This record gives sequence, structure tokens and C-alpha cells, in this order.
Amino acid sequence: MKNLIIEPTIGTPKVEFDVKTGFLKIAGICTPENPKQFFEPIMDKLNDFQATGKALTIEIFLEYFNSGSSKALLNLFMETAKTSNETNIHWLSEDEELKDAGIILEEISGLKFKYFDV
Amino acid sequence: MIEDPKIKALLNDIGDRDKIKDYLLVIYGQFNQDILVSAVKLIEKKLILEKFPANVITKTKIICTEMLQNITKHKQENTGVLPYFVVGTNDKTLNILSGNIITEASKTIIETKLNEYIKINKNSFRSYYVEAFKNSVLSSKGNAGLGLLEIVYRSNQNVKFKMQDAAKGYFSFDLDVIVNAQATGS
Repeated sequence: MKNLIIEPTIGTPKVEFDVKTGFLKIAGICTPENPKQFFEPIMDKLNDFQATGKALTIEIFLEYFNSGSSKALLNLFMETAKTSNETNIHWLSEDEELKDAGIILEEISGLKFKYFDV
Repeated sequence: MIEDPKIKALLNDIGDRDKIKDYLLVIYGQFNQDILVSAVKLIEKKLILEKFPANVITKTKIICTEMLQNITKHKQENTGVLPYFVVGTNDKTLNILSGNIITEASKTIIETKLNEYIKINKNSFRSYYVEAFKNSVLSSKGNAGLGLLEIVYRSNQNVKFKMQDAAKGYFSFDLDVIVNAQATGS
């Protein structure tokens, strides 16, 4: 299985999914016009990875985002929550406003998040 | 010195209705995704320069993104009326204003949603937001129908709006959002 790397643009984050270590990192501004389309390759890679049964760590460090991306992230977490594989979510934030977004995603997905102030 | 009469009239109107003392950003004309991202970046730089707290800056960026996306998505180029987007301040608040032309169908949807969100009790608004967010569905175009809710949530329901007949079948939609400059969290 190949790693997934999506380079950042002015309105989309950098995405790095290292399938060997099971580390998925999404960092930057996340305001794509079509969040569903943007998150599609990440979801596909995640589904392939989940089938290996390996432990997964997702690190999210967003500057800001639109509501569609927030929903796409929730879908990603819900997908993750479906498996019994070990999953760690690291939510990095620069302020309370961004931390609150993580708390809401944690509340809905039922996954346990670890919060880091940056 | 502003010479363009349309911009002059717009600023006078906005200044009157929201008592804005300083304008941080004014955009009048065509909008697209690139302008949206650049505008939000510019607002961020301005707010850092004006020493606003980090969480207020983030809140403002999220609200501005949603408002600009609404303008971009609902633009009606055939009406000849151009949209505007303004961020200004008075002593205690950040005022984010937008205006654009919408169809009658959009008017009904927007009006219904905003009236519903504004009426919700402040104490139960967070749980309403969480429930709506949980139950929303991302369409193939990437819309989850959460933009207006996000604006109302992030501004702690400090939202006013006005809709007026513009042309046959079209309406002008003016949205005023106020962010407390000392706000902490949503």
C-alpha cells in the first residue's frame, strides 16, 4: 500500500498518510469548495488501511475550516469508529475556539481525543 | 477619498446601521474562491495588527469564510447588482456585513433557517448545533447546509438580517454579524 501525500494549496491543508507507521496528519487551512471531493482520497486510503488491522494515529492541526470540512472530518472519524482497531486522535489547536471544534467532533464520534495546545 | 458613488452610499448605509468607526476590509464586486481565501488572510493580518485575541481572530475567520462562501455560492450575476463584504469595528465589537442578491427559493430557505436559529434559547443553542451537525449530510457538491448555523453559533446568535425586493424574482439579502471583541469560546 502506498503512502498518501496531498500538498497544501491556498485553501486546503497538507495531508500525509504514512501507511507503514499508521500516521495520518492533516494540517493547515481547510476551506475547499467541495470538501467531499477533497476528503475522498483520504477516506479511500483510510478504508484500505483499516483492513490491515494496524493501529492508527490521526493528527489534526487546522488553522481554520469551513462547515463542510468539519462535516467531512466527522465522517472520517465516524468511519474510524466503526472498527475495533486501536485509534489515537491528536487534536492540536492554537486557541479555545479551535479546541471547541475538536470537543464537538469527539462528542459526536464517540472517539477519545487527546488535546494539545500549540 | 472615496469617489465612487456606489461605494460611498454603501459605506454610509453600513456606517449608519452598524455604527462602524473603522473599516478593516471592504470588498465590492465579483467574488470567487481565491478572493475568499485572500480576504480571510487579509482580515487575519489586520486583526493581528489591531491586537485582537487569538480566539476572536479564529472565530472571525470561520464566520467570514461561511459568509463569503454564501456570497460565492448564491451569486446571481444576471441581476447586475454586485455583492459586498465589509469588516469593521467599533469600540467593543467586530462587525461583519455582507449583501448579495438571492433567488426567491433561497430567500425562503435562508429566512426560515435564520429565524429559527435566532429564536433558540442561548443555553440550549450548543446542543441544537451539535444535533444539527450530527444529522447533516454532505452532498456531492460538498454542501452540508451548515453555513448559516455555523455563523449564528460562532457569533453567539448576534445576527441580524434584512431581505428586500430587488428585481423580478430576486431579493437583496443583507446580513450583519457581530462578534464580541473580547469573546472567549463559542
